[in-house]
Amino acid sequence: MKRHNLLFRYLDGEITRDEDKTLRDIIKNDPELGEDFQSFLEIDYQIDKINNETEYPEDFINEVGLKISNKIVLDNELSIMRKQVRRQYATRFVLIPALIAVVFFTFLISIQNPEINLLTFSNQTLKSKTNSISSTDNKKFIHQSNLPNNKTNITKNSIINYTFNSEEPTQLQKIEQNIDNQSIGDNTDFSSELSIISSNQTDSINQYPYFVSTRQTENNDDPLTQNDKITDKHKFIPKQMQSNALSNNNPYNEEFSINPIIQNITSNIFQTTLINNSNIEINSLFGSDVAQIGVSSANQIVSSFTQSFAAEIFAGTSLGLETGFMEFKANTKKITDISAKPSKSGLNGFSLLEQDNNSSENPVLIRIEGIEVINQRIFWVGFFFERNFLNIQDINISSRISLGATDNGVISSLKLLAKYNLTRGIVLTLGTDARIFEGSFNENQINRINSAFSLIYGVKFTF
Amino acid sequence: MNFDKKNITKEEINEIAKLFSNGDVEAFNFLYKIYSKKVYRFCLRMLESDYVAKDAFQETFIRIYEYRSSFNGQNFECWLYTTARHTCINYIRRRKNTTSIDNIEVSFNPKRHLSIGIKEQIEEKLNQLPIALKEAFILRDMEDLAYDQIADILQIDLSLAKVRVHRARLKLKELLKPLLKEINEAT
Repeated sequence: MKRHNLLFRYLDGEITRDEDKTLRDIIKNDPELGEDFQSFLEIDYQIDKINNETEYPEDFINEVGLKISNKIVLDNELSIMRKQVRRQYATRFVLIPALIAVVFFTFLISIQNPEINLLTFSNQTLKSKTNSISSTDNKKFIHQSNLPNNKTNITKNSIINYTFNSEEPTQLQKIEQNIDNQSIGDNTDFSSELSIISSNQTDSINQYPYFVSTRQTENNDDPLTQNDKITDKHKFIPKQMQSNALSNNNPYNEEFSINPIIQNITSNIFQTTLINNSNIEINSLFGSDVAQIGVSSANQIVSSFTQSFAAEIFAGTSLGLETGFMEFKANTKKITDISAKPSKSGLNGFSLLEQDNNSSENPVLIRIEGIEVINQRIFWVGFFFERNFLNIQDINISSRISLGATDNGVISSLKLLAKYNLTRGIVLTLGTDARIFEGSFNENQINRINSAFSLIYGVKFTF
Repeated sequence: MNFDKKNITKEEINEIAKLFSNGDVEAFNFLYKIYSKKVYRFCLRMLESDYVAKDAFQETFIRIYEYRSSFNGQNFECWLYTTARHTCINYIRRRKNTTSIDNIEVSFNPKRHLSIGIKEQIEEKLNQLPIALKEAFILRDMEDLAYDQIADILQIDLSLAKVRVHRARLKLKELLKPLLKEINEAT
């Protein structure tokens, strides 16, 4: 094959002038190679001829092209329809449920507010429990609690006394509960702290006919005897409620619970305390986006500002008006039309076209589609509901749900705020803001539903 | 993109092919206008039969459309011929697995018994080449593709592509020796 390399280079049109001269010299001296050369040229000629004489099934080729073209057009239309359906789906079945979910979860967070005025509940419910006992027994107990009137009066290791007086003056039951303000928690077992105080700790149990130990209700094999001493720290229940306790098999029955604080927290979590005097709040928040989430990663929100005016309607609960803006980067289609008009300087009778976009009468020569990023600001106004749900020393944690309207659509926002009382009336705020909104600026907007997660910081004034 | 331009470069072809891969129907029509006959001719040379070539041609363009998103924007012509080649090879494999009535010796084959023209003889001898040499020869000497394009389509080295084309030429020359001798004597 090496003998033929120059021949092949000749046939491929790659031969140089020097190689061509060399090839001709070789052919002159090698008739066999010359014969091969003629054969290759002849085959090459015949192949060209075959190519030129090939009969093509024009109708078939046109039909195939037309079918595929129609399929492309149909698929494009289907694709547009699918996009529209997806957009509608996203709007109707994602945005709206997301808003509902945000409102719902914020509501849940708000109502499960552990910051409840414990003392207020304990006072109120203890009274009711005492009255309930007296009505069951037909013997009037007089509640003589010395519970403090407000929370600030509780100090560490303070003693709270519940005293039940029956009609019989000799029967005096006194329950003393040691309240450790710092150790109160959901799992605190106050029952273990109960002791029945009497002047003589060695008195036998039958000196207290109105109370029995829960040991008697739980374990029949181990009944209390006359010799059992009160020093044993059992849970004690009023004797007249013993049958209920047994039937419910529940020594912690709330009707005679000795732990009114915890009992009231668990049974009254939905209760709040109305504060009569409202506070007016003005809150300014700035935001910087840290993450893009949701259905429109193509869009970017770079910064936001929120100004709110609110009134504290309940303890730790505010309702108000919120307004603000976002600086928003959006990808949109950019269509550039290049128009042309006939040039006067025609050549040999032909008129030339030159670019001219100044007149709308000139025909569009070429249309170029592209994508450009535009800056847009969205202003919104809406209402919000804010609720404190946790106090950690001087810092209040609250959640704020807002729902508003923009000139492009609706917006919903969920904020988690940590507030620190700097001085009286001035509160520093730091938190996060998750927003979901619908925004479009023109028919070329690529994405409509947007969402963002921001860090926010600001200051709040209360009056 | 001006689709009416006469002298269009490969870069412009690739740009148009990108538009096609995004579903542009005008881009498809333009590419189809340029390449439909070339692809049909390639299928016809590879498969020898008009009917099978039509099927392979149609399947090639359907595949091109269905897998348009896999086009990497580099060389549309190579991508098209590669698809056509794979389609033709599938048809050749299918034909080998089935017994055609044409291959039965008792059948009447006019090519074996009648005097036939130069064109038919060249086509017949071309079909006697091994498939690896035949496809290399068709792509180089009939479709006028460059060696690097042939190497891309056949997914072989450039040097191997050259070797296959050269071997195919030599083999075809040997097969056509009697015919060429007749032609030389006649002229």
